[in-house]
Amino acid sequence: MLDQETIRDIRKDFPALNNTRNGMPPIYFDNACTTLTPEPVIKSMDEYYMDFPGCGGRRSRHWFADETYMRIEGKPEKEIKGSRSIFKEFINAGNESEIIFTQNATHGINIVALGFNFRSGDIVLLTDLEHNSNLLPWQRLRRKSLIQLKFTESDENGCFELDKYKSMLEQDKVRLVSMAYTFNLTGYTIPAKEIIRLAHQHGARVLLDAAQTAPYQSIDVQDLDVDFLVFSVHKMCGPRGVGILYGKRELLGSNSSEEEAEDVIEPALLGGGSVGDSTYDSYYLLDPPERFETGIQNYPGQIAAGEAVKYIQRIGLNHIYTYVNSLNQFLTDELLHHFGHTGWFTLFGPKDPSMRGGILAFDIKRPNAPGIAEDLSERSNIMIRDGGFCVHSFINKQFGEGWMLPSPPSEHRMIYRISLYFYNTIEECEIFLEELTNVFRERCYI
Amino acid sequence: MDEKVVQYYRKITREGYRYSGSLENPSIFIDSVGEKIPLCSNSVNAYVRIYVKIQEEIIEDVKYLCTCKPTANVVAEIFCSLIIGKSIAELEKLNEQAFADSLGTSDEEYLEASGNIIKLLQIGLEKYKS
Ligand SMILES: Cc1ncc(COP(=O)(O)O)c(C=O)c1O
Repeated sequence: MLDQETIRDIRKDFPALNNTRNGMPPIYFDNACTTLTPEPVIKSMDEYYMDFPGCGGRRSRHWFADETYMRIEGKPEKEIKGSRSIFKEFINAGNESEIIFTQNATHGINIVALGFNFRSGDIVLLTDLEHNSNLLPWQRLRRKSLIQLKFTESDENGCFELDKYKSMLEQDKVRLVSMAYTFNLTGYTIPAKEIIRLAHQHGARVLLDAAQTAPYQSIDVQDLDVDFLVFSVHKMCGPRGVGILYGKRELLGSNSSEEEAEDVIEPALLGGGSVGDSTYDSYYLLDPPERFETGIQNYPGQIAAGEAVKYIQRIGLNHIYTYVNSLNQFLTDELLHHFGHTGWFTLFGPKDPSMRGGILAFDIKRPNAPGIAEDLSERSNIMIRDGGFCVHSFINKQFGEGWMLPSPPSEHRMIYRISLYFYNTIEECEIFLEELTNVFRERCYI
Repeated sequence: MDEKVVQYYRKITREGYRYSGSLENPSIFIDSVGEKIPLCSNSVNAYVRIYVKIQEEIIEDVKYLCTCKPTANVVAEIFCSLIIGKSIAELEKLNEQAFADSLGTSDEEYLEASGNIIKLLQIGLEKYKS
């Protein structure tokens, strides 16, 4: 478990935590959206731009390009591990070619959606709590009548129901299961290994959206036996605009096409960097990962992404999870104790904080409930998130469509989410509770 | 928050929001919604919708819908109470002083919100007259 002194030291690595406003340091509780960035990560980007801002890949043969290439692809003879290899180890992939750099989780899901070899009428199975990034790409395919979409239903605590899922697999021939590994609204992590085992038993492939898992929990793609997995590095202390798509090697295609499995994905985007040779009539693609990384890439981002992994690994994912969850425990207990009985304060997902990692979301149904996030930011420099959390589908079903549109005070409501990371402290949680209580008091809720 | 504003807010939460609601076919309709279509990245923030019914140059009825900070909510209520039964000519003369007098405070935040609602009214009036 991380102790206070370690946290105090860690906080020094995050320049944004010194950015006071009205004399108050920021209390940043919006980590599930994006995390703050530590100095080693910032420095590695600076270094790229300042010292060797060259093309990566194997495009150019000069030393700026070499420096860039080395940091991403590594240099064994100098014992330098590149970012790709760092990510391979981070999720225990079997091979570096299975690690594809993307812009973010959204990009990765779209690559699979657009590249998967669907046959008309194929069924794609999602949960009822998907982020828009794992909903819209499939809805588009459905709109084009290529696939059918089905949804598993969470139980009343927001937990996954394996039995129901099993019977859905038995009932329909599902081609692809695409699910959030950890929900961004509730913080609940689905029993992925069993979900994948059952899917495979029924001949379906599985894509996991690990955007909210990777920052807190160790992932072992080989143990999971997952076919595709995506996440975003900006949610784990990395730069914005870099994500990872993992795909099993045999599903990413190759030049010697006779060995291709049926469910090989085609690159959704084509162009420079992904191609070995072209004529006016034809082209041939490079092997993965290059065939999926077309166009000049975000090299400083990819370099810094490796630094981010190194940074959080130094702290330790297990330590991060335990610590963050203990803060969540404290906040949950306090909030439920003070407001749980009011009738207007409702927690999303499992009541038990140990099932929600670093995420705590609640619904406030009181006059002028929207606006509390702005209030907390203005008065106490506390940053939390409100709104629909890109899970509009679920919330619209729960609350009724248009729930955020103008309505009489008796119908006002808003969802707020606190999402914690390892640089947050118990003192910050205490200040938050105090300030939230003040806001409630001012609004005459209590 | 200003004490007078808090007191008034407490009163309306206890006794009901007198002017909250909407009107069919309003003569003036003011719609100021931060984000009319809620985007995933932000809340609707604050919105206010004001419905004014005018009969023979007199404000016959006024209603509003809003979610805002208590201060802005108080301003919306006071605004309605100030304009109901008044003539259009009087409406045009509405200023922040009237808000200050009505509640007995010159609190900065309160007067700023009053100024904003007056601006919205002026836009609505222009439309009504044209
Ligand atoms: C569960 C989940 N999936 C996907 C995404 C999309 O991530 P990005 O915007 O980095 O692509 C998010 C971001 O909040 C998320 O929480």
